[in-house]
Amino acid sequence: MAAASALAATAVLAVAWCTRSALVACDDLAQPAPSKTQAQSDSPSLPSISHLNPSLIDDVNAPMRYRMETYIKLLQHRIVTALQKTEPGTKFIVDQWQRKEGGEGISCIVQDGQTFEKAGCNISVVHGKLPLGAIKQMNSGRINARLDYRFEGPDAEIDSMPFVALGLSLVVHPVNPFAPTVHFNYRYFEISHPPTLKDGSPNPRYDPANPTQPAAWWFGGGTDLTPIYLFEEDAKHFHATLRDAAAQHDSAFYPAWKRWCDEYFWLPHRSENRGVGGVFFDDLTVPGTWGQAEGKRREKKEFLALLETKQQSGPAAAASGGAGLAPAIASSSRQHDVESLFRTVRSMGDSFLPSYLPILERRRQTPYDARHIAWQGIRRGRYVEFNLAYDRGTKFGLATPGARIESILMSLPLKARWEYMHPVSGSGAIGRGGATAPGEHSGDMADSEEEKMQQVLRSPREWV
Amino acid sequence: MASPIPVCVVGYGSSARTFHIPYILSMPHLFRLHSIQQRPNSTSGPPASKDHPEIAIIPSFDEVFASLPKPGLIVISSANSTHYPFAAQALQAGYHVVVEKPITWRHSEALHLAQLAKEQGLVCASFNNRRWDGDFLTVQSLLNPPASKPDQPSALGTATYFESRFDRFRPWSKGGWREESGFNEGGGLLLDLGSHLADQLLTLFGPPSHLTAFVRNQRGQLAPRVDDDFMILLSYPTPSNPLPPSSPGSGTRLGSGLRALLGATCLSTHVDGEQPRFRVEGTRGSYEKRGVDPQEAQLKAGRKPNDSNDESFGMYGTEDPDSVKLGRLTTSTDAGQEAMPADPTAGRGKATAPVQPRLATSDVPTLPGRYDVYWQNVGDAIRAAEAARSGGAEAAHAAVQATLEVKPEQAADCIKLLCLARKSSVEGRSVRWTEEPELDVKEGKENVLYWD
Repeated sequence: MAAASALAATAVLAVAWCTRSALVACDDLAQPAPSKTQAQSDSPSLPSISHLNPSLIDDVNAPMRYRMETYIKLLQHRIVTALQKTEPGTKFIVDQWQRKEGGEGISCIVQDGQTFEKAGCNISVVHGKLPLGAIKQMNSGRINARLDYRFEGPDAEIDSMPFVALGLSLVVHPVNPFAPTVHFNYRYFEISHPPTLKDGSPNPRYDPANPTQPAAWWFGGGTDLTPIYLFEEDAKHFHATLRDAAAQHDSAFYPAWKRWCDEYFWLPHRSENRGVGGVFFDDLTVPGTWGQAEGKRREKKEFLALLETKQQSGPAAAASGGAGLAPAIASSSRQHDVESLFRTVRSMGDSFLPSYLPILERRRQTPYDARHIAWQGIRRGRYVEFNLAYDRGTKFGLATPGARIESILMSLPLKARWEYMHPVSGSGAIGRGGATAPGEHSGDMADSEEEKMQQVLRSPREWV
Repeated sequence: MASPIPVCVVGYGSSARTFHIPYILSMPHLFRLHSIQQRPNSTSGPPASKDHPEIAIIPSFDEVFASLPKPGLIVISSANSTHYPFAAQALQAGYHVVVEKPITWRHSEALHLAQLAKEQGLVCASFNNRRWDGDFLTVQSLLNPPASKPDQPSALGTATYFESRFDRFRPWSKGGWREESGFNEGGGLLLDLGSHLADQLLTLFGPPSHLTAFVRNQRGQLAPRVDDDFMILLSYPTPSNPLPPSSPGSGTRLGSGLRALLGATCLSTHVDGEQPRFRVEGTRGSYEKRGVDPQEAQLKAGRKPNDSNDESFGMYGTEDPDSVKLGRLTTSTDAGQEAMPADPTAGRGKATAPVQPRLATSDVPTLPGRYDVYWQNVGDAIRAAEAARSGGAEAAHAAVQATLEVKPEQAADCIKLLCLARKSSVEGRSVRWTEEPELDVKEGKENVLYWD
């Protein structure tokens, strides 16, 4: 499923067509967003939300894709408003476009400000048809087995399925080297039944009264903090806010997702984490509701598998309860249905401002000099290395024809710095293949703030 | 080290003649039978010199070290009471060892052998060949996800009940050394057959949380301290994983863990050796198998392992009845559906009934038995240890741990299980895995088997 979500994340970073000047009609599935594009010169600093209906979010009878879309657009507005308040000079620019196949993108970007070197908060809604090859790739074949269609052979029933992917993502790179970079993404992915089969006959699983009843769906997301200089209280505050937000819904979420985040944002070629972590989750769904025609199935509650580790056998499997060769999986401590998962994702999205704004406020006016700027450049370089070499969304995006490169690379900082044989972060650090013990260097780099930051990145810590 | 490993087999009893020497001889690229240690006028078997005229016969164990080169392997196949002392001496002298089970009946001694092997960077492998019984390999494969599709669930799902027995029909006792000594002397059925059952269980599921055992002298023909019947009930921790999608009960979480039953008796009345051997119940299916693995009988009949003229070694033959040859596998073809809450428009608020999964059943063949894999693995581990020897004992030990399947730490856990079973039976209570395995034997009560 990770491949599927990468695909989705890509989509969320803007795949497919876009036009900046044409007025493109929304397709009949994407609803309230107005078909308007903004020219650069008269751009307002906030996207329009007056057409949105907030009560849709809590309407259990409304299709989830509209509820999630409403939520993320309102969240984007709240976040950009709050961030704008901390940026005195420069206004956010709003860039909005429609997609030819249905869907849209709304980017809010500011760069070269007084608080923000570069910050972006983007909505992406993508409609499309997921081809057979992509369906088969998902989840190593588990998804296509559970979708209850004949995909193989000459009498394959369908060769693609409609999908929608929508999400909100944000990256903030502050000017001040003591203020950390932060990133988040929250997304929803849905595959639905096509109205007709490959041979043109009506699809029995398609319900015209419920045309967007999902065949498969899941949430994904996460947020992580990438400081330039380490302030333990900032990391603790960030993690505590996330933990409290997740704990409202299940005490097992934060521990599993914190670990998943540490594993995901790891740079193997540097043997270090990108930052001090956060949470990361994918494939958040109730498998028992998939492929069900009756609306009643949406109420199904299940315990969820949260995290998989490598396949184990024998006595190691006994640690997971003598289950007999099953992989060790963290389980949710309660049963969940689609509503509780949507509430969870909303709690996580809503926790962004309380988790990050206090840190930004605390640090953004700290005095700094050239040395701090240089180290900031080095740390930004690591950020770039991760995003270009390992981040799945970026890699898929760049590989997809017709992709909107500007949005895919929005996460990259304005400036970055690579020094040959850097004494703290590179091979110039004594102890990395050198003769002396790690952590010992001469000069002003010894026991420095830079070294403290570097140490923390080497292995994940429990912050709360 | 490309040259074959020289091997000295200590003891020339039925085990050495059936299970050890034929395999050593069948793998000349890996092993070279260097010598056999057999006491003169030994009653354990015929004179070894008659069967192996060109092999050196060593009259006493102490003399083995003088002649066997290093690196070398000593296979300890002599009386049970010699297993631990001989193994300890051999390891201290720098030889790899294979030790017949039971390697000892004191947990502290088993731990000591593991410690010696670690310090010396040597292989110390208990002879748990039955991990390569064909029926056990079949059970293992049914509990594992399919090899070609590792993300699919296993045929049986999560194991909920595991029964494993070695039953015979011997209403008249055979006599012989096995039936003369009690547990404290290395005799009895619990140590003899319980070793295999315990090792297989621990291999599949690891150690239990607690167990309750009944160890008895059932036939009443042997000395009262000699057990010829036992039953061990074991309980495992509750699994934390929710049942996966497409499993019956998907999305729910089991409230209790695996229950296992190990047993052996001499009063199990069946023809054709079709006593029940395995019964495994899981969340998706079940498997039952009767009869025992055919390799022992084939070896005793003189058939050779790894013989290119004997392709069907390790498999049941046409003469074996189907009741023994095949196992009965039942699996679910779908997950069914749980009861759904009442539809408010349906009136009277009745819930819809659950739909139980449909099941399919068939008789399935048994995988071939592969005792040769045990020997191949021991040889590979010895080779790995010697290749790493230049890095010291630590490097050799790491190489052994990475290669050897039957580790001495596992053998120690086996012994612990059997000691705890004895303790449970003597004290008349359930015991936890975390308890002290050594029995606190009261004066005059050394030979008690059962609390009653």
